[in-house]
Amino acid sequence: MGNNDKISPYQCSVLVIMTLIGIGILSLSSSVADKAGPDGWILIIGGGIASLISAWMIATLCSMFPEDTVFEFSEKLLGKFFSYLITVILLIHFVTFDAFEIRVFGEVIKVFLLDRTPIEVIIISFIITSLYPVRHGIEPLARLSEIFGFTVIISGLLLYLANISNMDLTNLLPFLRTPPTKLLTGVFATFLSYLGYEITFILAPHISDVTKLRSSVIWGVFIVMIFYLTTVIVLLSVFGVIENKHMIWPLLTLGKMVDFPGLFLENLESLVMTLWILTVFTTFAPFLYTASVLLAKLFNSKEFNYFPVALSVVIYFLSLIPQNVVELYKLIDLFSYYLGTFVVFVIPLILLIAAKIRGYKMTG
Amino acid sequence: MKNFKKLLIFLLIFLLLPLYGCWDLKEIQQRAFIFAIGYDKYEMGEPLAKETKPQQEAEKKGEEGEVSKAGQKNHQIPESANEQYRWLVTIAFPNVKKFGAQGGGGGGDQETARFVVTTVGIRGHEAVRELNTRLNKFVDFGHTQAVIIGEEYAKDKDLFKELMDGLEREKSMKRKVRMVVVKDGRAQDLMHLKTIFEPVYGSYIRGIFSMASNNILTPVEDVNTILRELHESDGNTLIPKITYGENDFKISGYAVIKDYHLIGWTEDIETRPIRILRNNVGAGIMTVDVQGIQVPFDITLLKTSKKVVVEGDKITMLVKIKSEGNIIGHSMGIIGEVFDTKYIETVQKALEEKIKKEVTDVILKFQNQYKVDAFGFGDYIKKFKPDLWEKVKEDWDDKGFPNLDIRVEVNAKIRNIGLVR
Amino acid sequence: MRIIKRKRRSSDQARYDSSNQNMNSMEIMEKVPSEKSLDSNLEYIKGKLKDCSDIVYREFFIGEEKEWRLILIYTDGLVDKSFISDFILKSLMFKWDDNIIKEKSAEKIYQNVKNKAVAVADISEIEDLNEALLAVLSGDTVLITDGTNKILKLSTRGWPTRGVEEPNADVLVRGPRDGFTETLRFNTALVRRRIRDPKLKMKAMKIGRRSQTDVVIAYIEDIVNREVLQEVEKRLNSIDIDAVLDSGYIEQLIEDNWKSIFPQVQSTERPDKVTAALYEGRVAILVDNTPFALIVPVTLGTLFQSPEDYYERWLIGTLTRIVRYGASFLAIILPSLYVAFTGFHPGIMPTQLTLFVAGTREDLPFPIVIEVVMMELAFELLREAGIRLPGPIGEAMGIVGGIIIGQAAVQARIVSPLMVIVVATTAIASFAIPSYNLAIAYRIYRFILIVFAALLGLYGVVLGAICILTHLICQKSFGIPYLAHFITYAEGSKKDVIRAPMPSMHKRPGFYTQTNKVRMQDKRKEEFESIEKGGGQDGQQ
Repeated sequence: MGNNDKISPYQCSVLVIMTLIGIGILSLSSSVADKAGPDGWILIIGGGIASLISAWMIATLCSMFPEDTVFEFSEKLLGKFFSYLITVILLIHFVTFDAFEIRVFGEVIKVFLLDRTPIEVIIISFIITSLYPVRHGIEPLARLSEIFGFTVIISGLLLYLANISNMDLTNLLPFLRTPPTKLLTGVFATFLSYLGYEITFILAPHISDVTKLRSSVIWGVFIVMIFYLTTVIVLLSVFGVIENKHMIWPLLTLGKMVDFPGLFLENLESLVMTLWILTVFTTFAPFLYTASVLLAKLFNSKEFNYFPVALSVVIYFLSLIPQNVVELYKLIDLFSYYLGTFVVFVIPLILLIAAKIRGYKMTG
Repeated sequence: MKNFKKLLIFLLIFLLLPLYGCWDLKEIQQRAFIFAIGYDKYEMGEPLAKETKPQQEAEKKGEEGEVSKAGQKNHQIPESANEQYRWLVTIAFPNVKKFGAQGGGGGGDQETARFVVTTVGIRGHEAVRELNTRLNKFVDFGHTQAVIIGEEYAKDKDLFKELMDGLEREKSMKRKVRMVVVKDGRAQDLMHLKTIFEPVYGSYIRGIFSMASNNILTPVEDVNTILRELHESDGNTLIPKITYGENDFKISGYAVIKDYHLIGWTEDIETRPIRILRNNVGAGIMTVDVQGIQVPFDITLLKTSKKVVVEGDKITMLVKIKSEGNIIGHSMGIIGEVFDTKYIETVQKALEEKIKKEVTDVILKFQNQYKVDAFGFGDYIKKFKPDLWEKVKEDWDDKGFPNLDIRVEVNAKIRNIGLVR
Repeated sequence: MRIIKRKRRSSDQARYDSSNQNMNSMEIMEKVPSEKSLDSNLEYIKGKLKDCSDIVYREFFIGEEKEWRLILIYTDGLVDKSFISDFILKSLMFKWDDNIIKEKSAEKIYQNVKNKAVAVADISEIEDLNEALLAVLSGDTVLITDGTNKILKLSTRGWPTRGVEEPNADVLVRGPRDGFTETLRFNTALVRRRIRDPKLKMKAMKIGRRSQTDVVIAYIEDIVNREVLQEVEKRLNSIDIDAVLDSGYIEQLIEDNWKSIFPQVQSTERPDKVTAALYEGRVAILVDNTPFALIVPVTLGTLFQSPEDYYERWLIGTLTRIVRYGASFLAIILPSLYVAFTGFHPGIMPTQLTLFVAGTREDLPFPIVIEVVMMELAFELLREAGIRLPGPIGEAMGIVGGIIIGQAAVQARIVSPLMVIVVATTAIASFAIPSYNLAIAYRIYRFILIVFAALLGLYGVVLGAICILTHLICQKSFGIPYLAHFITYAEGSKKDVIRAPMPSMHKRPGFYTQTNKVRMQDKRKEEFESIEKGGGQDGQQ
């Protein structure tokens, strides 16, 4: 909304980092332990590399069109029909994942913090809080990510450090006993956690220096990969493979393990919860913003403020569709395998090829 | 339009205000913070035994009123025609009045420091929740310190499995909760004891466990370790053992759990080699006989490492124990004898022998009598020699483990000998 | 006679043209040219100042035969009467050269008066009667000479004023103890003393239709942020109010967002704070009749700064800053955390503490939220009462009253002791914040957070915190983001969050201004770096 709605490359990186780190991180070690046992951490690296490739594609693509969002440049590359199609697909992508995000969030809050509060209240209050910065543009979101990112990452590392005495690195053995085919298919399980950099599709007009767009996005994904790797290694060492598989949200249980009564620290899980609320916020809000921008483009509207509200209503109702946690996660897996992969791999690839054919070059 | 939206939001918040506290806000004094919870096996038709002391005494005096009639003792059992109760749950929670500032005006001596309440149910969850038919507080597990399991209960496979799952699934319980199994008794009886040291059981038990770094006869395991071992080995673990007397109790030794139920006990002294083998010794004292004098050795460091050697079909496990410590006692009248390298070496040798014997004995016991690999040998092979593990993992506890050839090597060093020669 | 219509159009232009830098653009009084006849001038002035008993008309004559009539007009109470007697009247009444008198030229008399007779340091010539009126009402003396339409304005201001004292609100341990007073000229002097640079500019204007309050915009020409300066002038010029009683009026009329609780303009009584701000490239607004000067733009980080941080060594400054940040965090969030933890998640607190809290709350009549709100309101009451009571009683009242009431309430078992501690700590923490306006903002947000906590526990507190943060992030003060200190905005942003050592403070904070960044060359920095790189060091300085 502001006339200077630009973010710096550093802010872009942080935005990408915080958008990526969302609900995925909670169950990350559980799903990788399930797919590959003690070699689960390799899946993280695999997922990270795949995401880096995809992010590279998207960022390269966007750097070729410094003033355009995906809506505009896909029209230039493939014509009006495809641009509408792609935008609609992206819109669905952002909206559904936002709904998932917030539903999982609500469920976890109910389990750990607010037992009796109706989940609708939790969801609505969260959506309303997100509407505030979203309506002000990308800049507040980037700044919020800066502030929160710093806090979350440092606190996360501190939490891991506090658990060093509980870690047993031998839990990561035996090494490389998982058949490679399992490893490859297992990588898909990490995709949900790595989703988020596709907001780059609309970031090009907002960044102060387009030549740095690609490097900042790549850095962002890379740092997330390192962070996820650390998390998974810590969780696998503390709980072991079988327990990780058994737990739904191992990261939150980690908070229960910290116990220094002399140091006034006991059940840290509530602290972990607080940080995690911030993290989900910085995932939910950018997605909502991106979706609103895309919707606004579809309707060719200058007036931005109504779209976030409209989408919020849609997201609210979507999020209440799954009947229980089990159904929820099954749906998430389904969507991230198919829709997610399509959005981050197929679409950029097609567009990139089209761009190369038409001879577009990266700026700078 | 903007103003209208703001008005809407304000109205929304306003409407929400009267609802405050209708969801999750509970007054803190309305919560009963369970410090210790005990589980026993229950047969339908059994009377629930003891209530707290005041009621018992009232009974003895033969007073009429709420407590004297024998039939009313069973009023604590939820009446039902069809439900089959199997769990007997005892909870102990402190009387918070004693913890407030100034101890509370009229609190004084008449108030007990803690309350102990018993109930039964099909499973612990509804049993505890339905306590609210008698209890005017919300039961809260956030500060549970100890879980106490009765012997009979531990012997029952189904009950044990249910309990373990409950502990894992329960979102409010800490993972560092301590678990103990009662030998020769019921959890209920233990929890009704009035101990001389501290009335609040949960803290007492937990406090004893925290002494484990200071002595070698106290076991160290907490729920997290136990759960992990149960998962990894599909049903085997060691749970610390507790025994009680008139007015105190002792935590030492282990209950051996195989295939999700209790199969035996270890001696108190055996805690020593077990802790050594599991490599979680902090400090402790061992006494060795050196040429007729009983010399105590104060352990300051004890590290155990394992190694596996494969020769063809034969698997040999090497256990290397390294220890350091001080001599803290001798016998008066013999001046200067301890301050002698040869003597030190003799003591060291004796120590090594003793440790080796204890450890070997305990290993044999677990191999032959219990057939439970409680020391992580299988785990080690699985991690470091996965191909080997593939061959032997079938029925490890019953076949592979007992046939393992385990050699123990001990290296003990004495660092200092106190103040005199 | 007055030619109203023509003049009005031109003054209309002046009023609505906001780029008009003329200091009199605030005036909506028309220009009324003076006449040659003293009587008609006098008639006009007396007519306007009818029923003003404090205006003095001192008529006198020059010449032995009273050839020339002159009149002095001034406001009793606003002028330094002895000055008038000594330096104006006396010098006007001595013997005049007959030649000049005989010349019978009013103009000559006037020139003589102006150049030779009146020994006043500051005079100016005016030909507009309304201007003359304003001058009289401002404390100047006006000298009208019969026969000429030129009126002399003599600066004779002198009114009762407080001496330069230590400001009450902004107290330091180390640092200058002079504070602004209610006289604009003294205040500008205090600033000018500290910046003996001709680039320090002080633009004057008058704001307020009836009050005609003198306002000065001060800035250093080659450091200041041009855009901010323009914005300040624009906003000040667009103020249309009848009176400005305090700089607070101006503050509220020029701030970015009147709906926000956070202050977007800094106000201070300390000249050294103003000077430091000017050196950073900011703009100061000094207002007559109030010792509180305004500084714009401001960021949240600046509100946490105290000049003492810079007068003392950096380590002390850093530690104090950290304490302040911690205090402000506590001040806003402690009561709501208390509600959230006690009511919703007692599992978080250490066991002993939980038992203690539960024990103290046994048998209390009020639920947690009511208790918290009650205690907070009680403290607010005490605070207000403390301000109203005179002098030392007031301060003592606040503290002692709080303690006594708290103690009594605990003993009567109405509130729990921990509650009292929480509220008292919060109150004390809010006093640690250097800026008073900020502390007030906190009070309101505290209540909002308590409501959030009561509804949704810790989750509510976090949501509330996010809302506040978002608000802060979107807030701008004259174009500079409110949180500029804490986020990447420009070079040097994050350096001042915690006071960095002197050698590294060689550039001005980048977010206030982009020009003229280097302010210090410290050889020690190079020395320091060469020690790090080299190892061997020759000079033992």
